[in-house]
Amino acid sequence: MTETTGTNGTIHPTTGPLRRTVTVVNPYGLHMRPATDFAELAVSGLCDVAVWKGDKRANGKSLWDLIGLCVMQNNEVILEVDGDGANDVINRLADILAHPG
Amino acid sequence: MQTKYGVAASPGVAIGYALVLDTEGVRIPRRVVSTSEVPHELQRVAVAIQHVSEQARRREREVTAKLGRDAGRIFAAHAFLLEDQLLRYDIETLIRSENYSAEYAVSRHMRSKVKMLDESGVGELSTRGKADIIDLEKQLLHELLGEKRESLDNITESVIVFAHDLTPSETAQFDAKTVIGIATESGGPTSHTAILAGALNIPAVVAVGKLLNDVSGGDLVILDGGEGLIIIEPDRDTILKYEELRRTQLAVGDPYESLKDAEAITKDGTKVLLLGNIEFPSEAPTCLERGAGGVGLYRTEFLYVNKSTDPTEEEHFEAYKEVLSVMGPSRPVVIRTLDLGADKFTHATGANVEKNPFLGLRSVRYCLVNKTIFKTQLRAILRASIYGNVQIMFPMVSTVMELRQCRSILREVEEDLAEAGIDFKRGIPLGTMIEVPSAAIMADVLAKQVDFFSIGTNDLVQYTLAADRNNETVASLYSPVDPAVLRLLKLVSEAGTAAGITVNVCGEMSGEPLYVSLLVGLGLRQLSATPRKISEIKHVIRNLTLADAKRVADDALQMESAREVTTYLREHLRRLLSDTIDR
Repeated sequence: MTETTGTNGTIHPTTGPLRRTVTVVNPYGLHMRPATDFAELAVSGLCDVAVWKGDKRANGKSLWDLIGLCVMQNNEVILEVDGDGANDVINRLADILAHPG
Repeated sequence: MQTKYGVAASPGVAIGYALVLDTEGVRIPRRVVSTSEVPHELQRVAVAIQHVSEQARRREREVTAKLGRDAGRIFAAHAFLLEDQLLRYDIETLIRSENYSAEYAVSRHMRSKVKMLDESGVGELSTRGKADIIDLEKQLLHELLGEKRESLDNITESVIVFAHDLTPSETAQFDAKTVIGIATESGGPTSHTAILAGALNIPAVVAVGKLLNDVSGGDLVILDGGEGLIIIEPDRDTILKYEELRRTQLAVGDPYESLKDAEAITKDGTKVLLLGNIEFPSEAPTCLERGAGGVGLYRTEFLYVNKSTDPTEEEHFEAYKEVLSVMGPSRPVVIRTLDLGADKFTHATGANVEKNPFLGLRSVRYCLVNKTIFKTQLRAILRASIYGNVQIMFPMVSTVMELRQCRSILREVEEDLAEAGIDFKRGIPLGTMIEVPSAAIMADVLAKQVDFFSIGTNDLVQYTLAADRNNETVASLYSPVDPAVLRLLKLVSEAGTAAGITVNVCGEMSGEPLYVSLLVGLGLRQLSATPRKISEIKHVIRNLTLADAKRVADDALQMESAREVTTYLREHLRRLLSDTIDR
């Protein structure tokens, strides 16, 4: 359980970020095109998005960060989404990561 | 600070700012700005990023409409990278904290990203990603530099040029006043870059391997062409050390300068003719300045390489006329006809790629098959012959039949010219290179067909020992004083003398002081070397006696290994030159 400060200054409990482990199957890994799709979707919403590969963390809204992770085919990454509607967002983002083409 | 090692190609120390050629295509005019200019640079970066990302979005729309969504996504990625606040933040931080110019900050940042992908070293992902980032760097730099884009021909301040590879024509247009050093990823000690840099007195290091991702245009670098090393962003102590070294080298200068006009004659009166090797017409004046008695090897490949069409007769003619005019009526100018492999030609296709090009259709073999190309060159040489003392030399001859064919083609060209009433000199001296072992062995037979021999030691050594010296795993086999090579040299020298024709040596061996006594002792009286070596060679000859040289040759011929000969020659040269100091 974590706590965040709301815009009205009151402190209220949240359920914390959602996490999911995804295996990247694209033969070229998380290359420019899927990474662009991913970042575009992440930017379009209000949730915080992060991708972890081992102990390396990338801001999911930054294409530079995502490319810098150097995710290869068959790498496992942890997808982390926090905020309103995180459930829907994480499903759509995980689809992009797990997409074979 | 980072040190890179390559092949020492042209000596001297250079300290200056890097100009990276291949990826930028443009140069970064300055690296740092004064603090008062920082806000201006920040604004320039913001505007440039804005413009380039708008361009990318436009392209995305156009390409998507034309080629579909997948193709358009490439530019969406570009736009997305440019719109990323992180990019602006990182570049702006470099400008604020380091006072970098907008251009330098962009280059520096993009290079660090490329390097990061490089180091993670993951195939297609990293290759494609790098290409995209380099593309963005280029676009941003073009946007920032706009009208100020400077091409190579008008470099005004001194730079050290970094490139993957340089074409001979690119290298030739460098001016030693502005290009103070050259570093390339590829090439070898006998590559065109190396030869030209030496001729132009520009320190150079070649064959460094991966280099361009580690250096940004504007980085301070030290290049030591004598040691073959490059230091990127050196620390203060290193800079001081190399500045001292550079000063010392400059103070010493050319210690043999005073010998420029002296004769190359042994102490007991045997004269040796020293000539210069050149690659481009522009080097002819350097030859004279360095005291060469003529041009012993005028390579003509520059007319063919990196061109989309084969050179015209006029292009040949102008290049030959220029050198002949500089050298005057009596100094010999030996033009070597085309010496390239078939793979170097514009019309060569992948279909007939040779598995073993060094034993394939190259040089004179190629010319004898492609007679039009050959005749064009011969016509131009004959037409230029009225401007000086031209001589024609055929490369890579391996049988007497080839020489006969060359002569008969030349005769046809002469007849054509005579018929057309075009003026040319008759009886131009003809020679053959001796660079294939079969030619050396048959020298007595070949001698009847020509007026002179010129021993191309680089190829003769490589073909005799079947070793490519640019292949480090077998390079130790390659030695110009291997006993097998020495026996061939003796054979050729004696065959030439018996037939009463001149024997020249035009390989790199003749520019190396270590081998001078040996060559003179073997009976050679003409050496053609890179012009900057001529005075030094002269110095050795002037301290030698013929008896001494003959003894050196006799001793060396008795030895069983290259190593033994080299050790012996080193000791001899040391004694020879220390004597002169004592006196």
